[in-house]
Amino acid sequence: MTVANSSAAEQTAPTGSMISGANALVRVLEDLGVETVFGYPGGAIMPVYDALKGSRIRHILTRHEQGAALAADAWGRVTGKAGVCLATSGPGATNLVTGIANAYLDSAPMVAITGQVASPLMGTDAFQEVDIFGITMPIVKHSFLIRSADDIAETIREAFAIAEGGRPGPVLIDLPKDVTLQEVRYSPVRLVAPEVRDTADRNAIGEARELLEKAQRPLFYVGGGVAMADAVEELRSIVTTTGLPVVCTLKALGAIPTTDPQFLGMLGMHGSKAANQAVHECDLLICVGARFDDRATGNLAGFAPGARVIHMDTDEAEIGKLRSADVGLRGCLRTSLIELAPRCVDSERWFDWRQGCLRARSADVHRYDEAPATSVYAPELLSLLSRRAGPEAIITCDVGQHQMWVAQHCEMHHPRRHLTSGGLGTMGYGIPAGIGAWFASPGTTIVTVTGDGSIMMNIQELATLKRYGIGLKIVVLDNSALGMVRQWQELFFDGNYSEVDLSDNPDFASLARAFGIEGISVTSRRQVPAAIDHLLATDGPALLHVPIDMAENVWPLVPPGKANHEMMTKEASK
Amino acid sequence: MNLRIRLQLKAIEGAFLRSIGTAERRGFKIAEARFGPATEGQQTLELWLEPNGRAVDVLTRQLARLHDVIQVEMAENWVPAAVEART
Repeated sequence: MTVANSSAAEQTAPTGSMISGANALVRVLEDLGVETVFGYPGGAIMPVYDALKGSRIRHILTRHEQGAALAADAWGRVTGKAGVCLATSGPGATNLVTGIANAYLDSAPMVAITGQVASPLMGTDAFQEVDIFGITMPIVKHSFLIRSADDIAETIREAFAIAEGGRPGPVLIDLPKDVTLQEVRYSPVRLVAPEVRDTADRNAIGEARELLEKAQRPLFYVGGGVAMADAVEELRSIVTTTGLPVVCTLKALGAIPTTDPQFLGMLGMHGSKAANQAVHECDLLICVGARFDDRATGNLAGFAPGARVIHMDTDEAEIGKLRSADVGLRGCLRTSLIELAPRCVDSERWFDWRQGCLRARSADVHRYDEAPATSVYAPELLSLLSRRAGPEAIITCDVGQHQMWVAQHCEMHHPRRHLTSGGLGTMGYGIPAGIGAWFASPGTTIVTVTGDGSIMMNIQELATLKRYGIGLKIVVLDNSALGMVRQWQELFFDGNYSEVDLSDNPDFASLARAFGIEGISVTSRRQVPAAIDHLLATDGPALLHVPIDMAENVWPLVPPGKANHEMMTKEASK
Repeated sequence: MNLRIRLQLKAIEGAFLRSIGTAERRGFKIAEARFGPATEGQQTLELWLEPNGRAVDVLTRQLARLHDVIQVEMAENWVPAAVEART
């Protein structure tokens, strides 16, 4: 094998000719249909950036590698195809780590490519050398360290198949600089469709049907796996056929329209009373693509205490992990849902149960008229924002109180339209996710809801919005505090407020303008509708700064260690 | 009584570490590990795990989904290899 200087001209080299490893990488990405990558250049990845210059792949330069990884994560969630991010070795690679972990915890398909120091320097503590292969091992679905340019094409193809197949997730490829400079004979590759186990276990289906037939109070508990498996149509069909009530996890919001009467709300720590009560009372829990996450279950011992469980999941390692299943249906969710659906349902069947759930939902409607008289009430603003943005809009958010208010108060009609960091809880996700969504879904209204704590985690990406004219509409709910931590200190640490004061925040509207982005502020409740209309109508990126009351908490709340039905309410807290 | 898990792995970089790391991160203490030589692109790893109250069959499924892992076998009531060697 010889070493060559990389050249963009090699991009046009005919199939079978000798090209550099870097050009082979770019060629295979093109062959696999990659259109957009998010990244940040640096020493060890320079040959790849040299090759990219002549490529039809669009590179989006973020201002921090974490922004690139989180944008790639969002791209993956919106499209179902692996988002791609690039970074150099050392700090470039470690800056990707949070984004990779975010994708891992939320099962988002991603391929992360990192430059590495040249092979002879590996293991010598060379400049910008870290073992990113080892660092990321617990947070990737798989990882590769490419030792020879001959392996580039096949490794990249395999990486995409793994990232997108089965339960999606991130795959890391570490690429030493000398490998990108080696010459290799390139042959086109194509993506082989990942193997999907699309036949349900007949015996298990029979047992599940029997449980459903005997149940008096069945309930669907839906997770983010439904959208990931493209099983939304099948879910909606069985929900309609049976007329049964549904609760969703944070990540599943939109799998069933939140306006649907059968939808009782999000379950869990900040779930609706109707949803948590239904879970507590059901005698059969039909878990579809969810994983009994602790934020959803509260105290596991008190979760659905009288229920038998049917657990459907693409990833069979999830079945029985936290709650034993009476019946586990492993494999394709679409097939399992189709097979489980009753051919016909007696309309009287489960009538009392359904009516009871409906009444509970009706009684659980949020009272926006109880809002403060003049100051802005975030739940009311978010409800209005989602309706004005429309059912097709994508809402991304950060992490904290505003994240829960989005989940509780924004209408969601479709899957893959609510991008939130559910598993890792990454403050700083919102704006990079908005960037990823913008490129993944051209022409769609993209709104980012963030807080004054979260926005500062990746504020530099405002420059990315400006550079590419990304029409992201940002709403900053500013309570001059780390609101969720403050709320917990108020409720569970005797009001001993420790390091949550952010009253020295910058002027966010002015800050936006400093980046060349329109920035506006509202100070009173009556200004909100016009401000939202202005925000959404603005051509290009815009930021709306909204001061809110620091004392406003997220309700209801399941206290730590308690079961979901033991939730605290706003009324009880007074 | 320790649990024994035998893994057949692809002989590729990181396969041992990924498997051992998965077992430890899922809360199992590794009492003993035995590595087999790489032959024909495959290698074996045997782990003796101290029970921790978690379902070991879930761990085997978590190991089985790793792309380095070709096969996982579990046997309960095995004694550690060190004890076997002494008897």
